[in-house]
Amino acid sequence: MTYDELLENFLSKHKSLLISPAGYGKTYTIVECVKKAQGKSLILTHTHAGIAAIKKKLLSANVSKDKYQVETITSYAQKYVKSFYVGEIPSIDAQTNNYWQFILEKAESIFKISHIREVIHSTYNNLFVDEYQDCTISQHKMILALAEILPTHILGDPLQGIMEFGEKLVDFTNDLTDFDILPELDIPHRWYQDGNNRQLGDFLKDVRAKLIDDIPQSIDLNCISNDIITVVKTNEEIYDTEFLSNPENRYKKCIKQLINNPNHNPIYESLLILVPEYPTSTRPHGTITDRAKIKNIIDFNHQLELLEAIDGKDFYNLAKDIDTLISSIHNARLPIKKIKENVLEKLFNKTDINTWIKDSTIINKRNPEEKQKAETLKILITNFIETPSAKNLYLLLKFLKDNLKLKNQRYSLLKSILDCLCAENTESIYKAMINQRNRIRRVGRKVEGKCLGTTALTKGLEFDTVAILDAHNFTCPKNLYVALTRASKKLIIFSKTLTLTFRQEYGNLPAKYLFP
Amino acid sequence: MQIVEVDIKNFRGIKSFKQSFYNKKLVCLIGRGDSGKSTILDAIAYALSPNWNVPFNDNDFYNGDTSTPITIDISIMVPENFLPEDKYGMYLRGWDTVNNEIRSELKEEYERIITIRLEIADDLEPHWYVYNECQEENKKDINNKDRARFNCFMVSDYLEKHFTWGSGTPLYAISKGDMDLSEYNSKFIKPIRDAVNKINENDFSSLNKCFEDSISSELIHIANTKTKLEARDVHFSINKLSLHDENGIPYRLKGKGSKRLLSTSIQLATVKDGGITLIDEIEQGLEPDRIKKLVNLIKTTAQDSDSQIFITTHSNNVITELGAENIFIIRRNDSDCTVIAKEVPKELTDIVRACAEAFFAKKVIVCEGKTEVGICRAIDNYLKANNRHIMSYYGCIAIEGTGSNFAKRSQAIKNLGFETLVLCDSDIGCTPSKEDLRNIGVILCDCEEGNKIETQIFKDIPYEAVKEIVQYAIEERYNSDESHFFDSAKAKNSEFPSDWKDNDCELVRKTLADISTIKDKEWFKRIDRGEELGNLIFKYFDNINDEACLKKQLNQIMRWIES
Repeated sequence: MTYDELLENFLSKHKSLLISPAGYGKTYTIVECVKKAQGKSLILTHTHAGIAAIKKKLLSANVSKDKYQVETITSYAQKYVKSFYVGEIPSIDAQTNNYWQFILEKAESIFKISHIREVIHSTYNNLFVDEYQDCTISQHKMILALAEILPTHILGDPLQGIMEFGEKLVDFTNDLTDFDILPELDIPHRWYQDGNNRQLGDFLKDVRAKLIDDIPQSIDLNCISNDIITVVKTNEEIYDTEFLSNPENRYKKCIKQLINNPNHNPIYESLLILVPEYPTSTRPHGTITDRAKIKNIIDFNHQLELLEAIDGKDFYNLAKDIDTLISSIHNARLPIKKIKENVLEKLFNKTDINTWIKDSTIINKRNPEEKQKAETLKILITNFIETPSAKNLYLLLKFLKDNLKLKNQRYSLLKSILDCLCAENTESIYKAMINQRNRIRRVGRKVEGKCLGTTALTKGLEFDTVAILDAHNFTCPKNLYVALTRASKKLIIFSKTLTLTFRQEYGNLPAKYLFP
Repeated sequence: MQIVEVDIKNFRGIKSFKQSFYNKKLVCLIGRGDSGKSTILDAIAYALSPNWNVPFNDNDFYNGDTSTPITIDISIMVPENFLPEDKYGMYLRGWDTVNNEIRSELKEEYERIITIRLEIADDLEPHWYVYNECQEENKKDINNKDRARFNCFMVSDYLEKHFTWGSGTPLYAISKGDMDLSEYNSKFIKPIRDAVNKINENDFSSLNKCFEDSISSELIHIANTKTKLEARDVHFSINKLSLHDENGIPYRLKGKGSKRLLSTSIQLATVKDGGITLIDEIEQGLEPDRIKKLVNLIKTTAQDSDSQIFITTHSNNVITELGAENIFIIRRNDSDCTVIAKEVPKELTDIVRACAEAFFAKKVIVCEGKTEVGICRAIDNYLKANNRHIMSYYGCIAIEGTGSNFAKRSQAIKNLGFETLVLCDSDIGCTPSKEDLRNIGVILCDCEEGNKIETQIFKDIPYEAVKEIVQYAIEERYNSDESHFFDSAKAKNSEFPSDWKDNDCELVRKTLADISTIKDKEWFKRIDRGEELGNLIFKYFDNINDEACLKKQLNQIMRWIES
């Protein structure tokens, strides 16, 4: 079957499934389908990054904007629930899971109402769902409701189904029996493109074949040619004191050099540094706090973008804390201390703050320039205490950031708090935050340049260079496969061991996941 | 297209008004002057206006108070092409057909609607958007192009535009905007351009010479200055193309009635395509026969199409022709300043046809028979003669109950919200019973137990008046033959005395009452005779004993009229 025939086939079925590994031309296939398909196509995916990637490809292929609409499954569901569900909707932050679960269930029943079906039917001719392996069971049920309205073509790779929130993911073997299954895409196009690492592509194809045939206990990094993957054996982990505190640490220096890119190698300008997420006996590793800390240590020049989950709970918590601060600062015994602890320390580097504010006073400065700044700081803080408004807090934070140049660990958190403080017509910062998060979820965001993140946040993205830190801590084969396949030109693996061993509990993946 | 609900707040004379028109293809609004009928039509026309702007001023606000915005919500069935998500699909609401109410939830069994809201705040800028409470933070504007899809037009006094083919006119809507542009260019624009060129080939030499001779060329170079027709002044657009009759007379110069008829015919063509037509005072400029024809045409057009026609009227002829089904009575609720509409139940068609005037009144006196109607006329004469305000001043009208029907009619009329008084005999029972009528608030003005009105009259009036009435009856009913009358009286009661004129007694009065109501030989039973009877009563009104039932009745009626 030629590629064209494959597409024809894929489009001609009312419900069809195309297994499409990462880098095998999946997004390209969607674009070609949208071009071929009659009328307007609805394309649903999971992540905001995914939206951005698909839109970018559609734009560069000059597909007319009225031929498609790209959204995440959940934001599409949310749009309908917000428009047509009457009644209490659980609040988004309390139990993020409950919220989305609720939205998906309601959306499913809304899509069964004939009036709504006509709305959808009159808007779109086709539905494409990308990254189907990431669908939870409730998302899958909602998609099935949509499949009653529109011809539905799904793409995905069960090997990349990373469990995120704990809800069970769709099972390709048992849940998709209604779908016509097409032959799997089998050319690693991404790596075959000029300038990309063809050998890496072939290597990943081998890894993939092994993973599908049988889940191996481990992957051996010993004998891999340097042309394919650069493997760096490390003596410690990124959470060890040696790494955190020793300025001469080799592992750390390696990473710093990679980020600073002193030789201006263009392939290092598109860089993703991946940190594994895994549980330990004390607390989980790889959380946003960990990543912020690591970023602080390896990225002096602020070149890395710290990727955050759009629904990260810190956004909502801090917004609530600010609302509380604004309403209760009047009663505070030590108001400056309260501002510092409840807000400033969550946004700025503590040591930096302490050079200006100690306990509950502004530190007096001798240097005339600094003295002037301290005076201004005093005025801004006093203004806020006397008139606790969003505007005054905004001025204070802006001053700390732009004039005192305090280091901030969570740039996107600071930026969205500043945005919310300026928002008009909202009853609270919390409400403004909900609106802002919703907006970002709808619009999607761009992820490019140099980033620090996790596999969950970067599924579906590609970077020239990917550096995997503490690779020995990737104990789930699917997670590791996703991490490996993000790189198109250069893959660097930092690991304490040269054999990556998978945990037993991940060993029971369905080998030969699909074809009976 | 069909409007299912109109909800108006703070617009002109209307503080608030909300009414369902679900499934009403033809709506006829009636009500006394200033009740708000025309304002309702205007509100619909503005909210669905195909114009990109509509000027408003402070007087358009209720009581001139600009601090509360005007909002006009028109909830309407959704046109197909409004359904996509990026149109108005995300703004659908449900219409609960069982309870006739808007629901923000859209259940399977509901009709799907959208609500077009026109909002005008104190900046006087009209803002049109699609309203849905779930999307309060996410209002979606609806532009004039989309509003034009409703094809909503008003037949009004400013009709001239309706006879042109310009955009935003009903003719344009019929042509659906797809005029043949090349035809338009070759038959219209080009000839004009050619004519302008031809005119400018002329040399207006005398004017040019006059200019050259009198204007000094020292300050500015003016050699070879030419006089020409400026193209701007012959700027023509499609809205200059208008309809003319066979003699070449533009329709805009025709009489009011013909203009309205033509305008209405054009609108009705848009109705066939699902448009909405608004006609204020449909009877204007038309004779009764043309009204009849027009109303019938409108009725059938509305029935056969998927659209809606709203009319207002002050004419009996119109509602007699329509019947009850389509009529909504508009009136002010003085207690909370709202305007309310009362739909006339369709079973009442016979009442609408029989007593059309009542539907335009505020207060209705339901008379048992023609005699009583005549008496009411006499009451009016009496009021006038005494320099008191007449009945119509109070919006009061007397209608006939046609015998035993009076009870049903008065019940129906009261239920429609009219103040109702019944003037009736007390000699027979009725359904609903008098007790039931009293319970729903009908005022009963009846005679003493067992008395017909005639019996009551002959009992209570001075004997002078009795004789005068008999004299009138002799002239009217006995060919001025007194003996003929006497024989009848004798036949009725053999004891009737020959000296009855000087013998004022109960027997005489009773017998007179009896022979005045002999079936098919009634003395009165005609409105004019009843009126004469009434006039005679009022002639002796001051002499009637204040305690007499008749006097009490008449005073009660007059007090009720004037209340």
